[in-house]
Amino acid sequence: MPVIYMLWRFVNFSRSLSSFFQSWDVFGLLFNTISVFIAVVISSLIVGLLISIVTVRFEFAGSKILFTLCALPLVIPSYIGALTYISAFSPKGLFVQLFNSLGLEEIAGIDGFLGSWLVLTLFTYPYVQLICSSALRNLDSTVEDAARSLGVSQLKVYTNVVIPRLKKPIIYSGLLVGLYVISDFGAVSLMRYSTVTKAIYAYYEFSILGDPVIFYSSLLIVLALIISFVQRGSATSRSAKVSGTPRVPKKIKLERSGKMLTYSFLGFVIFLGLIIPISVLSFWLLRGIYYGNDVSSSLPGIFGSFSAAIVTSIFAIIISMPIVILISQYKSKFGDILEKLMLSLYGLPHIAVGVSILFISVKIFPGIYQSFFALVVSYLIVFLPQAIGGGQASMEQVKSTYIEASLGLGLSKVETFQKITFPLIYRGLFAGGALVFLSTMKELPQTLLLRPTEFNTMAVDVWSFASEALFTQAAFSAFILLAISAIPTYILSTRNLTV
Amino acid sequence: MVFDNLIIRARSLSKSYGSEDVLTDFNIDIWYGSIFGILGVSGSGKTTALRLLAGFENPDQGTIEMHNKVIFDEKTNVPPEKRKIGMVFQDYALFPHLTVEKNIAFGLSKEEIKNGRLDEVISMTNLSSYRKKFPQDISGGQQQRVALARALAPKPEVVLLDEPFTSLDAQMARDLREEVVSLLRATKTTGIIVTHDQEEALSVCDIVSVLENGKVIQSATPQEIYLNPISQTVANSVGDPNIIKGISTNGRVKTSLGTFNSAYDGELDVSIRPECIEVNLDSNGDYVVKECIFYGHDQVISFENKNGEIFRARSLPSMIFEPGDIVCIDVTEVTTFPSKN
Repeated sequence: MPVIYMLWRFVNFSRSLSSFFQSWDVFGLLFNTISVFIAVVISSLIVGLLISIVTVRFEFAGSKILFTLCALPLVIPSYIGALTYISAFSPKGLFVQLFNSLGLEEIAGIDGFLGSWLVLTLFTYPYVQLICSSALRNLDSTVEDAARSLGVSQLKVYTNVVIPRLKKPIIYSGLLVGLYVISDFGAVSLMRYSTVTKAIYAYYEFSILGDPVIFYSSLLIVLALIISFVQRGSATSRSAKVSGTPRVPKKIKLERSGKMLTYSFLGFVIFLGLIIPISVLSFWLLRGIYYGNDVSSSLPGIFGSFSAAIVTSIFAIIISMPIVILISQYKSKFGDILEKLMLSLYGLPHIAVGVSILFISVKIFPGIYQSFFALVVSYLIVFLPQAIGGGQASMEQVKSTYIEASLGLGLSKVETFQKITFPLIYRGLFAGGALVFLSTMKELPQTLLLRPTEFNTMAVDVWSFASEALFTQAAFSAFILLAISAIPTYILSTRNLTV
Repeated sequence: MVFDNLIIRARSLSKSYGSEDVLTDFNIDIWYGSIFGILGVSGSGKTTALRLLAGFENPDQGTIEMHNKVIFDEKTNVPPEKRKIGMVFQDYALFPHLTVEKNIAFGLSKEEIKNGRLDEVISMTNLSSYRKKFPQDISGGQQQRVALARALAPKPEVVLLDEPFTSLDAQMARDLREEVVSLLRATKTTGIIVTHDQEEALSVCDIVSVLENGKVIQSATPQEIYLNPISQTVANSVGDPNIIKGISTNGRVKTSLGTFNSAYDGELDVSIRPECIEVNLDSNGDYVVKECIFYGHDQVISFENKNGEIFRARSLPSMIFEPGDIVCIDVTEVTTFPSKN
């Protein structure tokens, strides 16, 4: 509803659209957004696919642990990644300081398009890696054997048989990355790269609900809806499974040079995606401790993150429970519509949802403007699908005959819910709730737009300290955020992304 | 066995999903304490009939009575949890998060458990050593026992069994079948078994209803159904008869296997079961053996007449036939139906 309301408003000022195009640099911003979208999707696909093929199909020591290490950057929010790269590779950053004694005084620095592209690639390729490797594992290799017997070389089997058969997971994961890229606010704004999301926030600071804010938010929503529409079309069969048990292919033994190449490729990826961010963060943290920097300014953020995340996840669990039951238990029209609606919420850019809630809270219900309530509502809009997904997965094991068996044994509908449905689905619901908790804690753009004055979260702290080059404080909040969320995020997302 | 009380009476039940009529004018009478079979091919509406009786779905029309009290009509609809009808599902529907013991205790009150009903049912079904296990950790046959124990525990008056033995191997199915029947008899529980397996229906049930396209076409004892089927469909559903067309005049019908008495005049279908044809080696015979399939307890002999028509006979295993043997036949019993066309 908020989205529709905003689109309606968008249509209403379309009279003077031509002047907007001139004064707001629409094409420039759109070009930047689309070019980083294309660049990141391509590079993430290449990196993610290579990791998948190498770790699933090649035989070398430590492939499992290297696979996990490669997937780990998934847990690092893009703004924390950007923070580490900026502080390390700015013209006079950490890197220069480190090699100062060798006569290095200044470097070109990583920012703008290059920085956004690098950082976004590093923290999105794990989506491709997880989805494609799971599809690759399920791929029946008899077709490849057939190709080999028809005289196709081993390398050509990959380009001609394997990758074409992974077309659907490739498109699906590529567009997932794309959705992430166009909605990203933290990395591009810290890299000072002018995309649509960065423009929304800049115009917001200038005039809260000025026409440009509405215009760009609507534009972003339209872009996101197109991408997620195409993505869902490709989701119908994510793993190219053939009936029967897939035959597991024999892993390819590598020559020495091949092994060296594989190790250096994986090592390089892990170095960029994991070792640099972690060591930079640790450096700032240790330096802060050494100099006795005051970290008490970070405490309200920690408290804010926790309270927002707890409240949001509890509401997410409570709201998703009836929705999950409606969708799967009774195959009603209403449930069907509800499911579609929830799916389309997924992938809406957070900043645009933030703007639409802002719009409603300012124009329609002034009472909730800058309230904790409005913030939680806007979190729920984007994260509810995660809770529902968790519940739905476990709802699948509640067969309709269980309900009938219970009723047939004389238990009432309420008792049946207590003794059968709830015990079978609560774990999934709580797992979904945990995912909501983690997502809320890491959320940045909506929080920036909607937080009550005096209310802070760790994400906001990381971003605003980093924007002011207060890296020690930023690192402290970032470190705590990662320490709390890394492992559960990794477990939950690998479970969701591998089929 | 003599039954004198009706427990369930269903009249003119109909049910359709969209434009597809699953049950039309469905009538049954079920005797208290009997084991009642509903026999039909898949899609004949037998599972739907069970679900209507259990109350999981509502008929579009008709009435269901239990002990002469209406449990469903236009005004009344007793919900499934109040009908006191137990059900054993085709996939068992055992609750995966509860142990065997808790599954069985599910429909029992605390008091009933305290009074020993749970232990009684568990020992009755020989499940004592599986009490603490989870359904997914025990074999298919044990799961079937648990499903039955769970249904029987609250002492329902009727237990519905939906294709209860189809997911078990043949030997296990036969053993469990006997066990289930003796349990039902011992507890004086009326059983309604839905099945597509003719052997199951005939060997277990007191009364069998043959269902076709959502209608009961014959309800009778297994012997009656087998020996006097009222239509070709019934004959086909309980056995594998030779069907021969013929025209009857003055109560006699002439066919390629001989001339027989008939109840009707005019165009007829004559049904002759393979076991009602005796085959003997006879160099002056009119028939030639085409094939002989040996089953152990009997054998099925396919033979051909001079016009190239092929028939089947079933005989004891002791006689040996080879393809090409000349034989004569003796038909001991026939059934005739008015021709369908």
